[in-house]
Amino acid sequence: MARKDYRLNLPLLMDIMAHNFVNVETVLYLNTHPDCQEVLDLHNRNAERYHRLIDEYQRNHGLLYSNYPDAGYPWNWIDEPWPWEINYRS
Amino acid sequence: MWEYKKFLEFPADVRRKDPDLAALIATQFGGPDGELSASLRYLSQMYTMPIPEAKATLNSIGTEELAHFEIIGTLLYKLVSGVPADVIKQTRFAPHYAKWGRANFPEDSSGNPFTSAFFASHEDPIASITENMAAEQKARAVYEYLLDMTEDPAVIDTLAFLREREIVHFQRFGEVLDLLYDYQEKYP
Repeated sequence: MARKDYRLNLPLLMDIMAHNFVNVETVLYLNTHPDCQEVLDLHNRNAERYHRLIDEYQRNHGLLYSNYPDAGYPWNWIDEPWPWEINYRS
Repeated sequence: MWEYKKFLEFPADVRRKDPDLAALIATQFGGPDGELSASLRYLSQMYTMPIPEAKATLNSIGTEELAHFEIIGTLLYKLVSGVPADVIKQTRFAPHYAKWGRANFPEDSSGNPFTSAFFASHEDPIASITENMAAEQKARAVYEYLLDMTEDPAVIDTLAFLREREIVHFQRFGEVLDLLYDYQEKYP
């Protein structure tokens, strides 16, 4: 199997982090407002975009979830940088 | 169960190394109003909650607090990694270094190790949720004390984010408390 050159894509990762944060917020809100259609719609729209971005990242830049079903060879879950090693302002 | 996502909830950065600041921020890693304490408090309380909104809120916020534990761990790591021992020797971080080197350890800013004696977990849901509202306010206050201790703009951004999350969590727990009172009125 051909080796692919997975590497950090910081702008895409930051975009994913932003969509992940929206998800954190919509989930907390919906937990106490399960009948709010407006936030539910926002939640679903954001989650759809999040999953598309995650898929793009995992296909081209390496795993963000260890259970991605199309992990490249060699196993890149172990690849650095880990989240605490990234300079987000670079 | 829990699954790791290989990114942070917030892009925690520091502008410069600062072991003195790390020694202070450590209290949010393993101190009484820290993120580990918050996470274990909520993830312990969730099982016996009488209404689904309360179970879900404790589960979601307890999980988010673990992500905050990681954010604080990231700040601590970035503030001290690569700082030579002879520089650390001159700082408040020296007692930590003498015990653990530059590794993170859950303790408060005076070096007292983490303990679950920091929190409570009551079957009485009003007691637990009210405790949580106080805990969120105490954590907000600690973030404000810490914000007074630094001028590093990257650290300030991160501490300000965590401070805001305490306010959101306080709001959500307040809503859970109202729902619990409604429930108790309906099913006394």
